[in-house]
Amino acid sequence: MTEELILELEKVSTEEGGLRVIHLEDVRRLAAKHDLSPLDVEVSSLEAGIVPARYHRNMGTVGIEGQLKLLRACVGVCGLGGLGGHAVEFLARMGVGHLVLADGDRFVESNLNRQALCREIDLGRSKAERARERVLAVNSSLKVTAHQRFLSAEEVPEIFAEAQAVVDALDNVPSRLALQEGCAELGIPMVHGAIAGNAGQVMTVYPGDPGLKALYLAGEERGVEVVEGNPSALPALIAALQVQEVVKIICGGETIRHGFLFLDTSSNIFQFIPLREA
Amino acid sequence: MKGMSLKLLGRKDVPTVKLFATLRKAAGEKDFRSDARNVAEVLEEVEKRYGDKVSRYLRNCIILVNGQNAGYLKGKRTKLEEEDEVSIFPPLAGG
Repeated sequence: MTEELILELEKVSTEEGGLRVIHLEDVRRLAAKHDLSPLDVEVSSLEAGIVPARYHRNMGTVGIEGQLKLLRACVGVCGLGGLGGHAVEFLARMGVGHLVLADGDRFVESNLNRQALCREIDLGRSKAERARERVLAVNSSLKVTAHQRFLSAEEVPEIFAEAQAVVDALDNVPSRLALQEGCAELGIPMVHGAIAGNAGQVMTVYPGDPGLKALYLAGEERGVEVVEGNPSALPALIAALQVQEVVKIICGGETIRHGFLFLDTSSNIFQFIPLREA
Repeated sequence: MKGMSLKLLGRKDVPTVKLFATLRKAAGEKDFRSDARNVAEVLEEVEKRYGDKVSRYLRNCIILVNGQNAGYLKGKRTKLEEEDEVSIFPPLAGG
């Protein structure tokens, strides 16, 4: 970081709510002037104790150190439907510097009830491409790598090689198990989320944890979502919890591990269920 | 002791079986006390109490005995003691 940039950052920053902040327009102008990316300017700014205004409301929870960790992080999202679409939105707004997204699917009409990325004009469009577009529309400083394909078990370690965590937003058991294996091979945690009807579950699986193997013992491909469907708000609810797990993985905190958080809005249950291997 | 199963004689307490999500909805109740002595008997009792509307989900359910996955114990042969808690969850896999 040049001394000149620091001086300019200090000069253009203003005080808001007890913090020195810099606005998006200045981030972009300084990036162009110093031949840097806006992300570089935001990182330099935070290092100098000046908060990009877009992250002002993140400060109370993650602080400057946490925001720097997030901006320097790479997180994967596998599956860009109900859970993945919301997860991508939340991760972009939280300021995760590099997002690696993967889904081979295209939007169909039955996605409209719950998939945040799917608008009527998106029917037939690639979910990966639409997710990339959405991330950059929300936060153009971020780096997005979008893969428009379904990943085989062998591809997982290669595609998510740079990631510190991967969000499991898939919709079938074999793919989820393959993702867990790939993440274990990379030595990184996977944040599992699944929904069916008014129920959902979240669990963070670290390498070596039994994780999904303790949840899906019968080896069936699908769960009760086949009969219960997926109402509109459940994906947002579970994806929000998954993103909170990612933030804890990167910034520090107690994750939902060695058990799963189970919730059922029809019975008002929100409960941690421990899973212990004998 | 009238009306109580013979198996309950001499037992101070009996296991509680808790049903979740789809199972709770289909059963119309959230839990019941059971005199089952192992997981297999719990499943039989569920079938007897609620019939196919619940039992059709049982094959793929996650069964926890005191928070421990029965699949890692002795599966359906997992024995139940007094005051044990059996939780049955349907598998959720949608995204």
